[in-house]
Amino acid sequence: MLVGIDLGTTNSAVALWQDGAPQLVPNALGKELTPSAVSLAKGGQSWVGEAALDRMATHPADTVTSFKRMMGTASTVTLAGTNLTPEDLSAMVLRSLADDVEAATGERPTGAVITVPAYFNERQRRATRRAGEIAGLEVKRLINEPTAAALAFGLTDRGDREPFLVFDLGGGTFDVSIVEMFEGIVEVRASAGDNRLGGDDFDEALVKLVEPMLENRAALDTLPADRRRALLTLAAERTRRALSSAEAADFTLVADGTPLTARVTTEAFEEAAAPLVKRLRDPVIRALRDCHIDVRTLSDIVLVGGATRMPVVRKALTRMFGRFPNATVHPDHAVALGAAIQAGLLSGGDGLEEIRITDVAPFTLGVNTATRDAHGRFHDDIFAPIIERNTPVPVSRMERFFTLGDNQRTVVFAIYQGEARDVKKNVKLGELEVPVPARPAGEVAVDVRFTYDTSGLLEVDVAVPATGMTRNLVIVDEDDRRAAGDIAASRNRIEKLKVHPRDEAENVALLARAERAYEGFTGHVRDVIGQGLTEFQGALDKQDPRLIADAREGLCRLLDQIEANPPI
Amino acid sequence: MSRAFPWNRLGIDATSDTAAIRKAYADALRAINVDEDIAGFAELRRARDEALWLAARSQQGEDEGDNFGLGDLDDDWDDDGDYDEDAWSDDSPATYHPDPLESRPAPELTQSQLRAQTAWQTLLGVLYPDGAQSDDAVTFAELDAGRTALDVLIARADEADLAEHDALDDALAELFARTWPRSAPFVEQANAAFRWLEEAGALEERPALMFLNQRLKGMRFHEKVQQPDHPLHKAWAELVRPGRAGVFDRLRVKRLEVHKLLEGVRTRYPELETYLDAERVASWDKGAVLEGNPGGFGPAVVRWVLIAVLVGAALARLGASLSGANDDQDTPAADAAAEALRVAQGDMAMADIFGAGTDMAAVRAADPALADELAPLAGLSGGNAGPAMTSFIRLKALASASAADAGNLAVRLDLKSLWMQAAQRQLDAVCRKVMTGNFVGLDLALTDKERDRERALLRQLLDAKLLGQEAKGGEYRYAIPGWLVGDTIKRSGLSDDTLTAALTDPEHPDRCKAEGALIEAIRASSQPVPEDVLKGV
Repeated sequence: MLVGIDLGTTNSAVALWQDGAPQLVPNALGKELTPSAVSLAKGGQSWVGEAALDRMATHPADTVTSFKRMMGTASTVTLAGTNLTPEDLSAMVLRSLADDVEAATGERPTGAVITVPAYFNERQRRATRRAGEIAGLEVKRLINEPTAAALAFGLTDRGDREPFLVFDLGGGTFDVSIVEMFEGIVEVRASAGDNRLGGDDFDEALVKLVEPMLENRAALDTLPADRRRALLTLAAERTRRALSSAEAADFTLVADGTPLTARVTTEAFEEAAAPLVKRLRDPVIRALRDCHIDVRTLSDIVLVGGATRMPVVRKALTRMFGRFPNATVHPDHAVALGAAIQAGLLSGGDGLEEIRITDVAPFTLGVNTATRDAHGRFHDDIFAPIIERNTPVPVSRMERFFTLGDNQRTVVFAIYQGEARDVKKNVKLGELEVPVPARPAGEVAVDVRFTYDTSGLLEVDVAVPATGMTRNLVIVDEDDRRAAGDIAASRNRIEKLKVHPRDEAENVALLARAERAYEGFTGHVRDVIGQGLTEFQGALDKQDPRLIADAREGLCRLLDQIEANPPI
Repeated sequence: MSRAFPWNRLGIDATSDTAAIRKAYADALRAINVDEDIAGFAELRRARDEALWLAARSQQGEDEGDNFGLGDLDDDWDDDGDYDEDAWSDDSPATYHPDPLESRPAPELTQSQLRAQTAWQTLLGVLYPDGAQSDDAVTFAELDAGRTALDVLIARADEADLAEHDALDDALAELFARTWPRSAPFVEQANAAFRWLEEAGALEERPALMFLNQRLKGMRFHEKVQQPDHPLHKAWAELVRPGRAGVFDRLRVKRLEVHKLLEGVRTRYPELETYLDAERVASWDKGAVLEGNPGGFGPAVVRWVLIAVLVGAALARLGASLSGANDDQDTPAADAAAEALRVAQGDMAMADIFGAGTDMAAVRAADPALADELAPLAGLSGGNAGPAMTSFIRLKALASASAADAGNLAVRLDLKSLWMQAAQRQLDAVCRKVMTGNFVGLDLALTDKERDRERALLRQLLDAKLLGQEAKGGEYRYAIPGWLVGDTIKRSGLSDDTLTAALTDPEHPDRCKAEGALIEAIRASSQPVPEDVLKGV
């Protein structure tokens, strides 16, 4: 079975193509969204999703979120003594989603379409694919998030649509795509983005704004750094949400029993977020310029991603486009639904016979070259593009290069992705060396062919016509080879971690939530929560399902009540 | 009926109906598997795009040439520190800077747009005083007015939609680039609003921004270099002081830093050189050679000496003599005896010049262009043919530099060295003639060994087809890297002052000695010598 997965920075979701429509699969708690959070404890117990997110407040050192922002880098995190790569962490989320599908359908998914930000680079895409493999899923296709959202949006009525713009601001990444639909063809005309801009950055701006304003901030300074960070970020996220519906909100947190608070107005937040809002404009302009479309002729502005709910973003968008954006698509569900449509397409699902998608390469890809200028001076590190950005994919292009030195014996091509003339400012993807016959400068030709597939993965072929020598590089060859061994090791490592039985998921999540609430309140309220916790724990120990269900319901109601009207 | 591209690929007849084109494209796309037929997909896309383009054209009529919105990107940019001044000079500012809001009729403009329009006119007035380009700096009053106007425009851009924001961004960039340097005090303010520097170095950086960003970096460098903690601050402070640099200055400031600064300023921010004192800069520039002990700083210190040489002054004369010879040829008196003489004289001369075994036929096989040029010379009578061809070929060898590659440049230099050494054994006048390529009537008195060597070298140039190349004469200037200067001084035995003077003045009495020493220094150099030096010598 093939499923569609939105592997997000903040939340993830899984969907299926079923009975001629894409359908989200709820998790063990009955929710469509699973927070992309992982928490571990000594002894190998693990939490994923809601429960892990709740443990962020109580066990910040053993809990991690937003690891999607680390994808494609060499950084790792250590949770409760276990060293994990971002791929491992993503794989744990993927595995939990696969569990949900198995529970819902009775069948374990074997393959997946996973979404990635359009502006994810080659390394980040490879890492995502590895994460799927670690989780035991064959990754049939990586699809760009805005493309997936456009699919979900376009397939609601299947009518033709003049070019529209998908504005996808997630927790950690920002994408813009311009898409057109006609005769069942979904055609992405151009994509642009910023893979280091998302809701998380707005939280950070809010923390920076609030931190000096907090009363009793001395209590905060006594906390260890990771704990302070976790508390502030969680509080910022809550405040940001509250600001979506009110002119002002209280930024509140409890540090070791001391309540801290500061009042934030929409105006102050807007000012703090202004530099981020400015960064939203460039990718939009770039995408429009690349496909020569006037902003005024766009038929719609489609919002995707949780961060587009922020009024500060909506306001900026309304100004940028001179009209109100279209908010009919569910910003958190559209991407997963689109992935399920792509999965349906790949497995020949009913009702999709007529649909085809064409996407573009979001980056310029090329090699480094050197040249001599009119004065005989040598200039190195000049970027020679081979595939220009926003070329329809799949694409295969060849360029011919010549030797620069007399009797040069080898030619080394470094492969880059980016938009700067100086290769040092672009992302280096790999290197390829090919021997050439010794001849005077400029007499030996070397052909370089770049092939970029529909998943956004690059293959490079180099040929020397004079000798018939060829070299092939599937980018990050070395990484891949190392990774082949690593995937098995990672899978092992993750499979050793203990997962709570599925029927206990609700209880586990509630425990984590109650513990988080206990930390978050003071005085009498804290005592009440403590009492509820003890009762619930007692019921769990007795292992009587009826007793557990009653206690669970009581504690749930209590927490709902307290959290709906926080007493501080 | 057979159809032409793009219609054959789409499988429809030529049409301007875009819906039909899209339908045909969609059907064709569904019929292929793009992952397995990448080339087919690319061709189909091209066919569709071309068909849509043709359709749009036939609908529009051919009223205007569509430039795909690219504009005149190529014509606007030159790299000399000025932004397209010539093109602009006889027009009014309005031609180049149409109001970015003018596309909308006045009654539709909002209050803030009207304010922006007034501000735009104010800014134009500040940057083009009396409606014309000016290099004068703005006055304080103008600066104030301009900044206020720019603030209004930026505020408008902030609240405008993308299209208007973009238009303002473009218009300001264009305006500031064209009115540089008068616009200098406004650029930072605009950069803060439009984030121009973010675009610096991008493949698609707008031409106006490419210019402005370089200036912006220059201004920032200028500001930083004035801070005492900047690594080049001392060098900067030295160069802005008026007057020649004295001995004491040279002890105080590191020469390496001064040259690093000068080179950086000249290659990146040429406009900053106006802040420097010309006389002082000149004394440091010259000091690069005039000061003794060139080896003292090691080969890392590269100091450039600008050398002027006259190459092929004899070429003009040669051209004249050749055309004279051609005139002789034109007379129809070429009887069989004269022809036989011509062949014999030619073959003898070639064997003499290139070595036994080379005759005219061999020369023609190696380089037909040269053979054609030699033919009239071979017909000269009175024993003139041999010397004429010898001097002609020597001159051509000397003039081969413009087309030669590195290997043949070395061959040419060996030849010149050979001749110079022979000439130096004789009168200075002989040496001088060799330098300028004036071989006519010159007896170099080469030894037998030297003759053999000359033949071998000339034969190499012949085989490389360099002798038949059209020779370019005229003055040639090149710079000698500092690390060569030390060795040249040693070889010539001249003082560095004299050497510099001799190398920069073709008429200098020690020129011959200096150039000879330079050639030997180059030949002995273990480092690669820049090609323009090899060509120039």
